[in-house]
Amino acid sequence: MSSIEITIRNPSGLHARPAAQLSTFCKQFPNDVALSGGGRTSNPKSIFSLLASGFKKGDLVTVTVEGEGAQEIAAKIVSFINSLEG
Amino acid sequence: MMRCMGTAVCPGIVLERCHKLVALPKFDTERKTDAPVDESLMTLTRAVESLQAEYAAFVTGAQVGASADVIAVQLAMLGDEYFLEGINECIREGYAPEAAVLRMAGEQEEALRALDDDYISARAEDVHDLGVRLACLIAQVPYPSLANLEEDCIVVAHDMLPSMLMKAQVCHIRGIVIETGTKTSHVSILASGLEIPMVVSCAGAMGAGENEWVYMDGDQGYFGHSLSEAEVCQYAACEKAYRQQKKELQKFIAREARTADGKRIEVCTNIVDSITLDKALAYGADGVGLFRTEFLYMNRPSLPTEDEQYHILRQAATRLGGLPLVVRTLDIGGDKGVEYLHLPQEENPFLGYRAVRICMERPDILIPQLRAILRASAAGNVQVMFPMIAIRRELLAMKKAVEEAKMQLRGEGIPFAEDIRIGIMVEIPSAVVMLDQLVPMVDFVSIGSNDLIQYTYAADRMNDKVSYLHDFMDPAVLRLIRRTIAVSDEHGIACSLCGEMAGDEIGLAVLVALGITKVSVSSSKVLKTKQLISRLNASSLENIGKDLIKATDATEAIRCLRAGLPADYPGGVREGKL
Repeated sequence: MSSIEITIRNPSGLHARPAAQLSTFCKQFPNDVALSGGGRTSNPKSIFSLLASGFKKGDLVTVTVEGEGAQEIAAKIVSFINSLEG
Repeated sequence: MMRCMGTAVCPGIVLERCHKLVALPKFDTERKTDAPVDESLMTLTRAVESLQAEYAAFVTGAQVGASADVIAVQLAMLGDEYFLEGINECIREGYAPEAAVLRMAGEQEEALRALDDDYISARAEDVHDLGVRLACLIAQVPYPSLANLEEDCIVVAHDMLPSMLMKAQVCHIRGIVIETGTKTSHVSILASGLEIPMVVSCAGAMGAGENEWVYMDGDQGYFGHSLSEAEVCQYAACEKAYRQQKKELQKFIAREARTADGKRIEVCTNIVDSITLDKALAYGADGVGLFRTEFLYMNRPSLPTEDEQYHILRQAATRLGGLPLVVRTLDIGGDKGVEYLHLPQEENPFLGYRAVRICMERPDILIPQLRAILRASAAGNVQVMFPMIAIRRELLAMKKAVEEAKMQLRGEGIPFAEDIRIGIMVEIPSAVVMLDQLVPMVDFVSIGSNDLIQYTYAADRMNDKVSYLHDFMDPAVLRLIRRTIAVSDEHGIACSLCGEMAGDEIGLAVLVALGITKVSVSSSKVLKTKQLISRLNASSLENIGKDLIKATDATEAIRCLRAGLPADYPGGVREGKL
C-alpha cells in the first residue's frame, strides 16, 4: 500500500473535465485506488464519485493505492493530478 | 404570417426553410420485461459500446471548449463502474434495459443536483442527455439528430439538448428557434458562441410546417410561419437588406473610426472574458475600454487567486498586442454568485457597500487583484481603473494600495510596468462636481453613463415607474458629461465613456457633439459604431454642443442635435431613454 499527500492546484479543482481526465487515467491501473481528504473518500476511477466529492483547489488530499506496484502507481497518479489544467 | 414572440438570444434576420426537430421520445421508466437478464445485459453492452464509438468519433472532429468538455464528461460517465453496475442491478431486478438506464441516470442526476455546488449540479444535464441517448439506442428509436442535415434550414424544436447542437451539421443551420429554454441555458450559450441566430422561449413555433418558408428575427426575438407568397417575397427583401448591411459593416473592421470631417474617435470595447476579447479583436476595436473583472469572482466557491487572475489578464494583454487593456477593479456588491464574500444584506445595494467601498476594507481582495494587474502590465498595455469613486479619500486609498502592491512586487523581483496608467470611472455625481481636484491624481477617466444617470436623477433603471428619468438626452446629464470632458481636457487627461448611450445612435451623436474622443461599447456594436461615426460631422456637432447644454429639456436637446445631423441619420423615432 502506498499513500501520497497532494494539494490540488488547478483552478476548478476536480470538476467536470479534470474529473473526466483523472477517472480515465486511473482506470488503466488494476489496483484499488482511493482519493481522500476533508473526511470524504472517493473512488477516482469513477467520475460520479469524484464529482460528488467536490475536491477543490487548495484541498489537501491523499492518494492511496493498494497491491502490486502501489508506490509507482501512486506517484504516477499524483503527477497526473499535478498536471491537470483548467 | 403567424407570428410567435420569444426571447432574442443571438442576432440575425433569416428567411429559410424550416426543419422541425422531432420530439424527444418518452420512455416508461417502470417498464419491466420477461426477456432473460442475459439478453438485456447484452443489449445494454452493445448500446454502451455503440455510443462510446459515436462519441470517440466525435471527439476527433469537435471544436475545443464547451463541446469537447461535454463529450469528455459524458464519455467518462458512460464508462463509470458505479453507473454501469447500477444499471445492471436494475436489469437483474427485471427492468427493461432502457428503463434501467433511465432509472440509474435519474438517480445520478438527483445526486448531482443535491450537491451544493452550482458547477457540479450543472453536470446533471449531461447525465440526462446521456441517459436519453442510450435509451434511444437500446429501443432503436431515432435520437433527434441534426447530424445529417443536407440543406440549409432554420431548426425549430420544442426543446434542444446541448449535444444535439454539438453533433449538428452546423454549416447548414441558419437559425434556431425553440419553444422552451432561456437566454443563459447551455444550448443558448453554444449557439451564441457559434453566432447562429437564435430565439428561445418562443411558444407556438412548432406550429410551423416541415420544410415551409419561415422567418426569424434574432434581434427582436420573434419567429413567423405560415407565410403567404407575398410575405415570403417581402421577408426575402428584409433578409437581403440585412445581409447587405452586415457586409457594409465588414468594411469597418480594418478601418479606424473617423468622422466625416476626419476627426479620430477611438472605439474600444467592453469585455468579460477571452471569448468577448476574441470578438473585439475580430471587429478591429481600438482596444479594451473596460474589462469587467466581476466575472472572475462570480459563480465560484471562493476568491480567485492572484495567479488565476494574472494568467487571464496576461493572456488578454498579450493578445491585444500594444492595444490598451483597461482593467476595472472589482465592482460588485451583494450580487448573486459571490456568497463566499459574506456581504451584509442591504436595503439599497446600489447605494451601499460595493466596489471600492469593500476593497478599502478588504486588502485580501484588493491587493491580490492589483498585484495580478501589475504583473500583467509587463506583458502589454495594461491600465487600472477604479469604479464608484465618490470622494478624494477613496482615490487616495486606492492609489496607496497600488503603491503597496508595487513595493511588494519590487521586493520579490517580479517585473511590472512602473508607469502603469491609473484612472477612475466617473459615475457618481460628487466626482463630477469635484473633478477638477480628482483629475490631477489620475491619468485618465471614463464616464460610466449607466450609473451616472441613475445616481443623478435618483432613479433605478430597473424600475418602470421611473423610467422617464432615464434619459441620456436630458440636459442635466449632458451638462455633467460636458463638464467631465472639459475638465479632463483642461488638465490634459484622456476622457472616454463606457455605457449604453455610446451604443445608441443618438447617444453616440450627442457624445461627439459634447467633444468625446473615445467610447467603449459591447463587441457586437463595434462595427456599427465605427460606421455611425463615419456619418457624423464633428465640427457641425461641436458647434451645436454649446447650445445643447442650454436646452431646457430632452426634447429641446434632441431638436437641437438634429440640426447637426445628416438628414438620413438613424434614430428617427425618439429613443433617448434606455
